Amino acid sequence: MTVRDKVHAYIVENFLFGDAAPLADDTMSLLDGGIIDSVGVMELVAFLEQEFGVTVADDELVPDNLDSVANLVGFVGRKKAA
Amino acid sequence: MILGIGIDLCDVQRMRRQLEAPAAGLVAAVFLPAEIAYCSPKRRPEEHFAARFAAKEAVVKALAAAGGEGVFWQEVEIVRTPGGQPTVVLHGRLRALAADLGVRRIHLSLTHTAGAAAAVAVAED
Repeated sequence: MTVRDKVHAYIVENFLFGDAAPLADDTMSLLDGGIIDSVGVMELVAFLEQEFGVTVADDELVPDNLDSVANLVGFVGRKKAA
Repeated sequence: MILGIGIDLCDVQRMRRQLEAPAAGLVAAVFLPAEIAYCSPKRRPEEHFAARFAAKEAVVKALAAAGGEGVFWQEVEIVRTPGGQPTVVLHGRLRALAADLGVRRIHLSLTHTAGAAAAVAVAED
């Protein structure tokens, strides 16, 4: 699976009860779209750390890194390349 | 005068799963050392961590800082007065924001059960 597929699958399985329909596209805001809440952000960070072996710093907890599938994929890519 | 109010609810079992997760660094990314030292020895630490997580979110809402700026978990510290009441110490950006808003005091109330933890914060000038 690609990073995108793993991230997408995690969100669908854990926040959408397996129904991918509400996640309209990879640029959709997860917070504004009501897909994840604040605890969900914490869960998402834990998933990134466990699945991809990255460490997320406090100042990286921003929407540009975490608020869509596309942003998450880009963030993981940058962290793994660093 | 009341300048803002915030409320938040946290599922205790979701918090428990995070505490048990292998990503040990996550707790340190969300909670400050004194908060971890207070919650960890408790008989049901997940309730206390969940209450503090709800409190952090409630404080951010009371300061109207919830939208678009990311999260502020490390900038809201929940401490206890000598009498045992929970209260708030702000750090970093949130401390500056509160000063800009004229907030001089934040009142905080927490509650928790085995299932859920909730917090209400009131910002006052």
